[in-house]
Amino acid sequence: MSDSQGEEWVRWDTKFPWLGKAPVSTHSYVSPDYYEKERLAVFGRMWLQVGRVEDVPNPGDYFVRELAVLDTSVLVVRGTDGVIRGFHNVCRHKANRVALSERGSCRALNCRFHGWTYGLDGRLISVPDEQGFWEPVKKGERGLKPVATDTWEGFVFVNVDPNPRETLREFLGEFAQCLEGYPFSKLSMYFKHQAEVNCNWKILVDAFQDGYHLRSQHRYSLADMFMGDPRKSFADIKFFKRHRFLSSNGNPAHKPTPTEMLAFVHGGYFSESVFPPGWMPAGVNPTRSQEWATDINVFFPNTFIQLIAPGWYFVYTIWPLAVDGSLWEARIYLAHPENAAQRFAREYIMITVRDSILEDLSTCENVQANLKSGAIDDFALHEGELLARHLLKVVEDCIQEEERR
Amino acid sequence: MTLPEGFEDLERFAAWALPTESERSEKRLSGRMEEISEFYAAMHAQMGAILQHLSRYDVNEMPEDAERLLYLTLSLAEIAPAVEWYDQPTVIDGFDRRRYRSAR
Repeated sequence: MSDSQGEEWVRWDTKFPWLGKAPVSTHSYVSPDYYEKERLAVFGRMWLQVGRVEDVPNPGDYFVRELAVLDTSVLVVRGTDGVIRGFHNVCRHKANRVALSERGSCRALNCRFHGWTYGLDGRLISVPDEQGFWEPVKKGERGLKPVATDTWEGFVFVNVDPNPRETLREFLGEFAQCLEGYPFSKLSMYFKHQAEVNCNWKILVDAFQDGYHLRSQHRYSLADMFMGDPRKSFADIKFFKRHRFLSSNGNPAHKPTPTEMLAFVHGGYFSESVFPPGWMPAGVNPTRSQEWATDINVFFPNTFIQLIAPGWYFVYTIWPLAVDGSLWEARIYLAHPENAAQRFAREYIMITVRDSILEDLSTCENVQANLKSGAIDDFALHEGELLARHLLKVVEDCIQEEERR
Repeated sequence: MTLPEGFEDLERFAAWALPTESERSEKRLSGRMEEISEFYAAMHAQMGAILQHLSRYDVNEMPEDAERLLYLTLSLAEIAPAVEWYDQPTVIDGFDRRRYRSAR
């Protein structure tokens, strides 16, 4: 087909006919029964990204991740051997939380309830007044319960399935190649934002993989930075079993605002010291587009790693709290500023990202509230919403697979 | 408040010299557009000189007066979308910023 200027184009959805073309049901966004199935079949079975290795740089450093969707608190700790391990944050004596703070550092994991103490590898090492038990406590059998934990490119993943069906490596499959070699470890966390949003987790995931909403939803903010329709703005779309990838072009005719210009001129949007020429691994901007702006890597079920040309990456994680409630978390990583101009530029970009996200989150709540009314029961999806179609399909595949087990 | 020599005329914006994003954001949200715009114009008029002045310091070890000047530039970053995008302090039809938690 061709547009009015005679340019050739192919609609993206026609390249992936296996995703279907019919409108999709809204059932999975509002049904408590479906949410219960998702808890087990998706969040109970998949590898979930919970942090970075830099969050626990030294032996004894730990963080706790509350997985409300699984009623589970996971403790991630670096051992004296340097290995990062995950445990249920549950004392094997009377089930108290072993770690009470979100993060910290310790020489051993000490439960404050009755004083049982575990090594950094989870082994039970001391029980106060042990002679007060009928039988000696079998220490070898009463270590902290492990949670499968592994790392990839410095990202820490856990899997609460006692017997994960796949290793992390198998779970990522070829998708891993999109980001391998990216200098993640040279960048550090600059900001973390969190918000509880009254909508289904999939509505939030869709908000950040939707290439159709930019021109309208972000008309005051981001719209001018991107090209109009997905046929021009999308450089590439790939699906990797459960995961998905979107490479997007910027608008070469974008007119920067005065403050954006200041940040650009004085503050170094880009970090050449960290990203020398030729820094880009083959999986980043795979089409080598001259107008490349960003790659969105969506890790099923709930993690985005978004790369912004060069020197920035964002990690978005969406944690279900209920069928109609989610915890949104954005972590922004970048090269630490060396001077005031860079500090200003980073702040400016962080604020514009934050405000753009505020535009999305209110809409997510409006959509959820309206779905609850039952006024409509399906969505007709545009080609720019192809990734939303894929998400629904993969969730349903997980539920089907769980039911066959 | 004192700012480094040469920036005395920015003293009237002392209330914007705030160390955290939360405080700067709160100041923006509770401000009137006229005062936000006035601060925006005054800062833009001097940003070249400000960044030039601050460039002599390590960003993590600044004298107090220079640090206050840095905070003013961060407040400019905070209010830029209010002026350039929304023409109002809050994000148009946006999620309530106060429901958003920030952490460095």
